[in-house]
Amino acid sequence: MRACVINFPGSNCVDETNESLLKAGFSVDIINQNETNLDDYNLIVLPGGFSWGDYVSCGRIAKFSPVISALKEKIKQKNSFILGICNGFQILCEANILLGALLENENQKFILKDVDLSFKGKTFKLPIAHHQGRYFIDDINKLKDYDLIKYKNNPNGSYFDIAGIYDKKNKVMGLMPHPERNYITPFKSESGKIIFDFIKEELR
Amino acid sequence: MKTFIYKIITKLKEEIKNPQGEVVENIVTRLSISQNLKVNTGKFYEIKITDIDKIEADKKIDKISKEILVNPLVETFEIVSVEEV
Amino acid sequence: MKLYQKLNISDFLYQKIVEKLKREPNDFETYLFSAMHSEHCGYMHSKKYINDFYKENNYENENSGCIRLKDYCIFFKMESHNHPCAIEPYQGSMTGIGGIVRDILSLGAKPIALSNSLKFGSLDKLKTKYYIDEITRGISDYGNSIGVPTITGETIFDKRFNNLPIVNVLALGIIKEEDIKLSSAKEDNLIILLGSKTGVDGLNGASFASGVLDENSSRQSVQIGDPYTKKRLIDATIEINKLKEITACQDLGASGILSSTSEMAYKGNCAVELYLEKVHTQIESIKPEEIMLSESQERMAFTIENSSCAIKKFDEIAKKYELDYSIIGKTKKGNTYEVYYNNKQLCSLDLAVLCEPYLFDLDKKEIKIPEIYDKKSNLEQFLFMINDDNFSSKEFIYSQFDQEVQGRTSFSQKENSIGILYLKETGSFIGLLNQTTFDINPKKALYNAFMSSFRKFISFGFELRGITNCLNFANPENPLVQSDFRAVVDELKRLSFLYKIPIVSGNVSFYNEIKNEKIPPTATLGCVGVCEDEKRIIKSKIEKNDKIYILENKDELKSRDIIFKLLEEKMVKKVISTGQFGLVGSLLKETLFYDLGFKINYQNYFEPYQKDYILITDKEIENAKLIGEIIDDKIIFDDIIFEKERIKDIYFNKIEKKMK
Repeated sequence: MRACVINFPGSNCVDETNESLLKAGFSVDIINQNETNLDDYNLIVLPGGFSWGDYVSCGRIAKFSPVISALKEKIKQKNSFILGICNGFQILCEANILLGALLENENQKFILKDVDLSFKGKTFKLPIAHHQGRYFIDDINKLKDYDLIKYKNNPNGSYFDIAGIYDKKNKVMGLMPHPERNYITPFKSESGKIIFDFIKEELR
Repeated sequence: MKTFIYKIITKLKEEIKNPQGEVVENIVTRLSISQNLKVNTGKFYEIKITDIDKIEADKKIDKISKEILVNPLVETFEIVSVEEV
Repeated sequence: MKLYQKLNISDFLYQKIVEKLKREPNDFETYLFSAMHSEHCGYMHSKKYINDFYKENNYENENSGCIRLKDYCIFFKMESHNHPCAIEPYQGSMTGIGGIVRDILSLGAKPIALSNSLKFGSLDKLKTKYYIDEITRGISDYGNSIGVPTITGETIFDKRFNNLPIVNVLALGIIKEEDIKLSSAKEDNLIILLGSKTGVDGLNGASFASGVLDENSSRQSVQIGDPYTKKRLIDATIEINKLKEITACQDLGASGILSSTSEMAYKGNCAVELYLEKVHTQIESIKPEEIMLSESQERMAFTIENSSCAIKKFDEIAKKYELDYSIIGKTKKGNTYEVYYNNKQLCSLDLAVLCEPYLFDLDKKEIKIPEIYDKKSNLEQFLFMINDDNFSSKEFIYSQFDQEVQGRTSFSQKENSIGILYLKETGSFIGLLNQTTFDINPKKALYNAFMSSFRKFISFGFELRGITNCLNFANPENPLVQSDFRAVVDELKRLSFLYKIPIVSGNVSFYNEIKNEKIPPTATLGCVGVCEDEKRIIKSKIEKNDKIYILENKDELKSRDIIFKLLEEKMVKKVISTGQFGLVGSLLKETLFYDLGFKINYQNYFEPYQKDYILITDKEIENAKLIGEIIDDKIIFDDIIFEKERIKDIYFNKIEKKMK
């Protein structure tokens, strides 16, 4: 199966995301924000980082890039899985591909922490590393077609303890935690595998 | 062509918890300056734009504000002044 | 008042310049000398003493030296950013990271780790909290954004830093040795400036950092950081340095264009012609001397073969990363530094005069320092320790740093005092540790910092392989400061030769004084260790009923071999070398992490930086002395019993509570 990682200017988790996908069995291309042909990819990943410096607001500017227009078309075909991690999740929300928005953490600081998560009956730990990860949605009922990834101990003030959301219908997932950081490094937990296995299952 | 300077404020919608505002509220209360206040925070932009007339410039500033300066789900913007230079 | 006086050049130094130049410098040249012959750029009070450490075949004339692993070089360097952080801590700490990253980058190395050593005043002062908040936020915003993990660090609180925080930052990068780009220029090349526009921010930063701070020190001398541009500059520079047409690369730090272009030419034995009107600038009204001295951030300089094909390749990479550049001059045969502005020659100086400032001799008086024996009871020492903010966990600070971006971090500060990275390029692990210690005797402080780092690496299965340093001192014109400085340097020299540990790079920061308050001698070591055998790295959980042993350390190297064997054979769960708070402090930090207590019976409970190692294991160890065991909820030593829960709260939560 083929995957691509979109390297926006300012993305900085490209290498480890690439390595994780290779380990999960994908062949991987790294593409940039001007790419418009996404036909060949089963999985499209928007990695973590600070696209365009996050200078106006996190993930705001990426929505104007050609690759996001192509991504919106690709989702309509319903033959692929889209994963946004951290800054990638912020981009998906800002581009109206996923519902909700990500606000500054309640303590107004960058938080690096291993957090306990639950998703589809499984519990596991993954690291978070963000300054703007407080998930906001005005009405939880809007997420009735979504699966939710939830924090056990809410670290940042997210509404409804939401760490990530999965739009089942369109197969689009946004995650504040970083599965790629707990998968490829020696002496580290391999809990990120849970997310990559889930994606492979959904693509089957 | 005319050149205008727009001053624009963006802020979080009032119903959304604003931690920066709360910090100010707490310290003001703690210092007994006032017990009764609500603080919101946001950003300030000054945009210098040149266009054929004010109507066109207004349109562009509206587009810039809606699409770049705010996320309409959580933020609002207000043009606080326009001045021709 | 003459111009040179306004620019803080002393009458004595001005006289030396006139002697060498055999004439008075013109106004433009005086600006250049004020920067190049400042302490910050010229190392005038330290240069005579810092060049003969143990080096081991290193890149001595470059921005940084390295250690070698297989075909790769690991470059690392530490730098101070004390003066900018004192007056504008947020921007100061951002640009501190920016500057040190450029030093590594200019050799072509990919930055893969950062660390910091921060010294703040007393945590009970409001000003200290302001400094902590702003400096932490600066390092967080900049380091996280450029995508380089901050894998370790140290934070020290001491009232002697109340008005002048010390901010030392380290960057480490990796490159294949054959790909290294040096900084000596060749003749008949073009000089290209890449990155941000040159503006008036950070003007005269070098001479600003070369004087004692006062309350009027202006914020104008502080540079503004732009991590988004830096991220692109890093990626672009690594790609550009792979072009064979690039002959040299140098970063723009202190004294900006002036220092980088003159040093590239001087090292390469060639002359320079600069055309200042070609430099891409922030504002049109910028003056020629401002262009020369501006310390605007996020800029790199290159020399490149003079061919349209070479320029085209450069242009493509710059465009790809959306970075501006300008061709600002050329190199030629000769030894002059010539600057032109709109065809008018502003200066023509002998490079040797410009780049070789006068060097001072420093006094070295043997100062008899009495050994102070402070006889406190064990209980008093224990209470003193848990009340000391230095004992508590610094999680409040380091949890704001991304320690794991790039996916190489096997152990970060979350769990270890040594940050450990896996290098996929070489299949080995490297460890990073910052260490500063204080003592009434500065020589002993340096000894403790060096040896405790040496032992700490061993306790993790690593060998100390190289050191960078940042020597922060007060006014070097003071003879006492001179003697302290020389005592520290001599001790570092002695130890580096004794244990054959190369001092790969370093930085000296003088004039750390404000309002007659001097900082104590503060020698920060940035230590890098290597582990090439994965078997020596142990990740196991300490449990109740584990035994605590002391391994006597009579010979540092023999003890190293014994410990490596114990680790390889998995005979121990944890080896601990004692730190600032002695046996009890080091054990406590370890057991609290696993929510456990301990019971020991020994002596020297609180002596700092002991030679002997502590072993924690569930096995029997021969030739080591059993002193106690791990228990559930109490801390018991001598006849003293403490409840773990209370200490746990102090250890984990005190700093965050105080910061509120």
